Amino acid sequence: MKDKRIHLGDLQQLTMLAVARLGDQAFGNAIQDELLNVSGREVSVSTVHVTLVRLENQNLVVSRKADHDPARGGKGKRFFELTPEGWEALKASRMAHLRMWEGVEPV
Amino acid sequence: MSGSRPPLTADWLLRAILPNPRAEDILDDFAHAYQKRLREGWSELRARVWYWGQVLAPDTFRLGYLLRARNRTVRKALEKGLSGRGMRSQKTLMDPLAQDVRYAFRAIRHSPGFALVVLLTLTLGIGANTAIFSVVNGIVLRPLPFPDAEHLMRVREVDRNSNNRNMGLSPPNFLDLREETSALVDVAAYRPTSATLTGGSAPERVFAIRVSSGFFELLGAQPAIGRSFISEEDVAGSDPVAIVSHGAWQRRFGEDPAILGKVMVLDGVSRTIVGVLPSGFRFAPGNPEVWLPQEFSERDLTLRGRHFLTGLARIRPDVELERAQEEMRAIWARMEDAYPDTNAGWGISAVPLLDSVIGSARTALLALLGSVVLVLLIACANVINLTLARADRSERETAIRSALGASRYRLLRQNLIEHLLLGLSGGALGLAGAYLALDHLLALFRNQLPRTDDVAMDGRVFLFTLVISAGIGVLTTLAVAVHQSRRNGTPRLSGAGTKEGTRVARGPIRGTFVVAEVALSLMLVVGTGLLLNSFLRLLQVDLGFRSENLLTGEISLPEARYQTDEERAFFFETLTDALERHRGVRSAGAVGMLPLTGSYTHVFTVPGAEQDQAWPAEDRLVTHGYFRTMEIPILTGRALEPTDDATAPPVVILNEVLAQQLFPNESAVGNRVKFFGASDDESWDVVGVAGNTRQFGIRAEAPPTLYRPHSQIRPPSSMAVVVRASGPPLDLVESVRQAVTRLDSELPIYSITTMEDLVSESLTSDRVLLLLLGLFGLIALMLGAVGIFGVMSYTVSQRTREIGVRIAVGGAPADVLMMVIRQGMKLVGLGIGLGLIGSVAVGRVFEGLLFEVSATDPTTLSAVVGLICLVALAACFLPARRAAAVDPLSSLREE
Repeated sequence: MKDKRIHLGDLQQLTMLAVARLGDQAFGNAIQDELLNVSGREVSVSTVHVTLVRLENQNLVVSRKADHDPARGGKGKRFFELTPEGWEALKASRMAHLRMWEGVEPV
Repeated sequence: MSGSRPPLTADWLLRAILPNPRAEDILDDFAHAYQKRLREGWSELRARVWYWGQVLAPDTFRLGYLLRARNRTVRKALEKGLSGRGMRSQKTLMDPLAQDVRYAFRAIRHSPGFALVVLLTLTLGIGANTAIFSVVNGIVLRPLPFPDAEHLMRVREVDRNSNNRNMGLSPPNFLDLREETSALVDVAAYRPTSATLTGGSAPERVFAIRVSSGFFELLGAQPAIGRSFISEEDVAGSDPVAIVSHGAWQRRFGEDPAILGKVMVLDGVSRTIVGVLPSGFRFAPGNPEVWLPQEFSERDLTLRGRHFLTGLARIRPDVELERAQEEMRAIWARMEDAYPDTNAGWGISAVPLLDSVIGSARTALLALLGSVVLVLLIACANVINLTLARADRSERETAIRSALGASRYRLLRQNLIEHLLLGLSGGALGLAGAYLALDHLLALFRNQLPRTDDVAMDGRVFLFTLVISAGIGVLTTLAVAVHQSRRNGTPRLSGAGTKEGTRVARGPIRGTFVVAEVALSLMLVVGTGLLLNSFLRLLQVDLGFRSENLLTGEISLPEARYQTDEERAFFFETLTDALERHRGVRSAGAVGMLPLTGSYTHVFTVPGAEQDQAWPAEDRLVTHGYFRTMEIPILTGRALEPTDDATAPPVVILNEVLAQQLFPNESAVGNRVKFFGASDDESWDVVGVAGNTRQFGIRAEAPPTLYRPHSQIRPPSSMAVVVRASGPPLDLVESVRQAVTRLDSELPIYSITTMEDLVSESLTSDRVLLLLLGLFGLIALMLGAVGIFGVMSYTVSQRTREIGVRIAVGGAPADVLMMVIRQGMKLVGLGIGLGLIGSVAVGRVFEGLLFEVSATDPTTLSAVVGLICLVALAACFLPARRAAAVDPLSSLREE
């Protein structure tokens, strides 16, 4: 069990949180905007997608193609959501952060 | 809104970098971001520069790489039937059909074991069918190689008194028929013969056919060089001429263009060559080298009772076959009234030439075709069974594909393409195999079947193979579709997909195939068994003579040099005497026609008998050494003596059958017999009764036979010499040749062989048929065993958990073994029952081929049932043993 723990990078954590915050509206541009508006991190479209693909490969995020969206010329958007493993990994990461902060004086 | 579109070149580049399933989504995001910046008031130029920067950023390339790697993984996962992790099936710009074909190739490549077994099965099944169909096509289905061949008929006289036996036309009857008919374009007549060709380095016997004028015209053939025969050449006395075959022109005359007018010496007669036949012309088996005119003698033209011609007729195109036959019967009725002495009791038969040529071969070919069709059905059942098992194993993959949006139609189409691919590959391999095997097959059949030269793989054969190959593909697809739809619609994604729980639903369809395979194999093996049984009986038939250590050969004296009776009688007398003095020779004799080589019939009667008392019998002219040499026993009276010559009173020996027919209530010896129609003064003394000998092959009972000393009345010019050797008979070949040459250096002895070979040759068609059916039976058994094994293995693997539980709660492995075997044998038993019913139909087809064996012979049936049970038991045993060896712990842990 021990070695199975997934270590999330900083951008991965932020992206997953953005996905979680957006709920059923988590698609590429929205995630990009959320990252910029909430955390102040400006990342390119490619970077967002690289991160998402890596998360998908680790089975932390899944995507599905929506049927079609008139706003996008009839094409369907690709939406992302966290898998149960994704939630677990995010929680574990948060716990690790909280534990590390314990005993550290707030600056 | 031209400004709202991102730069096209950049977009194109982006498409090139990113692989397909995601490219569109990401491009959308790019475009969205671009438009957002324009909305925020960016200038178009700035937005474009920004866009290019985004496209060319390192992360874009990283993304392309990641997505490609991901696609590969997903593809592999899909192929292995593992989880695709929610991946959408690859949607490319490729034509969906091409994509499905590629998919099918991949699927086949990824289960090589399955593909190998299926291809092997199909190759065997389709190959055997293609090969046999090629033969049937060439012999039965193809028209004869003559224009409007369906209008050609073979005309013969039939002996109504002896079971409508086909006999030839006599020359006067032939000429009358030709004269009177109006329904026929023309009638011609031919008779196979042979002649001694001299003038080369050694005298040589060549196959020839004598034909009437109009023969080639009737067939629609013209000599390639020169002319055909004219009506003057139908009667003796015209200038001797000959036509040579294209082969003889090439071989013997080096394709000499100035061949017309050249001379060849045949039977001592110099004949002028007047024509060369075209290269494709084929009429009789054995391809005669020389064609001669009929040259009927005056005597020929008066004897209505000598049936040595075969008639060939062409019906007028506007006349129906039945009407032509009717007209011929009417003409015959008039001829019967006009010449009651010779024509009473006779009839005429006119059958389409093709039917006449195929003759009895039809039954054998039908039996063979039926057998390979059974093999194909078994192969088909096996392939479907294997495919179903595989479909179950790849159930999850199908589920994933369907969850990802693949429609039922698409899945069906992919299945169809895959199975068509397998079916057609098997068909191609089968076709190649049949092509390679066909020559060997024809070598087996040569001399046993007519028209083997016409057998070739033509368009019809290709179409046949294509149709059965594609048919198997479609059938398999349908079976899989039905199988899957039965299982409550959608396939399941859950992990238990390949484990038990669905067994009950799947059992029946698989069981059906096992039952069918067993039934079909049983039918086929019953056919083989019946033939084998019949063949063994044929080998045990007492021929009436001893065939071991007998050498035979034939000699024909040219009439030009042996004109008198004395010369001919003297030659054979001297030759057999000389041979008897040779070391290694126990005795020697000669006979007009050897047993098993043909028929020479005359009608005999007893002096003073009623007008209608006539008995047809085989007429055999023999030297006095013949009975001794052949070891034909003399039952009463005496054998022939050297003193029974032209100067002595004429004597005959009857065989038992004829003695019984002519003299049912008294001893034949001391009585007299004569030719039917001859005067009482021309009768002969019966001096002995000999044992019966089979004359028309091993199957036919010994016919009534009459033996006359060759030297007494019209000694024959052709005889077969028989030599009884004290050692291996073939050691004597050279001595016999030398003995002939010492008497006449221009005389060949031909058809040298042993009597054992003649006997064995007369069984060749039985042997070939048995060999092929044995082969098909073996294939059927093998395929059947593979089928049973496959299904039982599958069942065991489905029940591993249940078996594990049984063993865990104390079940003995032996009980498990028995349980699996019992389950398998239940299906086998059902198959045997159905197969036995089917074998009644098989028996009907085989009836005509069997000798002294009933089509429902209980010994054969029980032996075959036993064999099938044994094979089935073996096929059940391996899976059963695996079931008995199930480790309960690991089988339970698997869940």
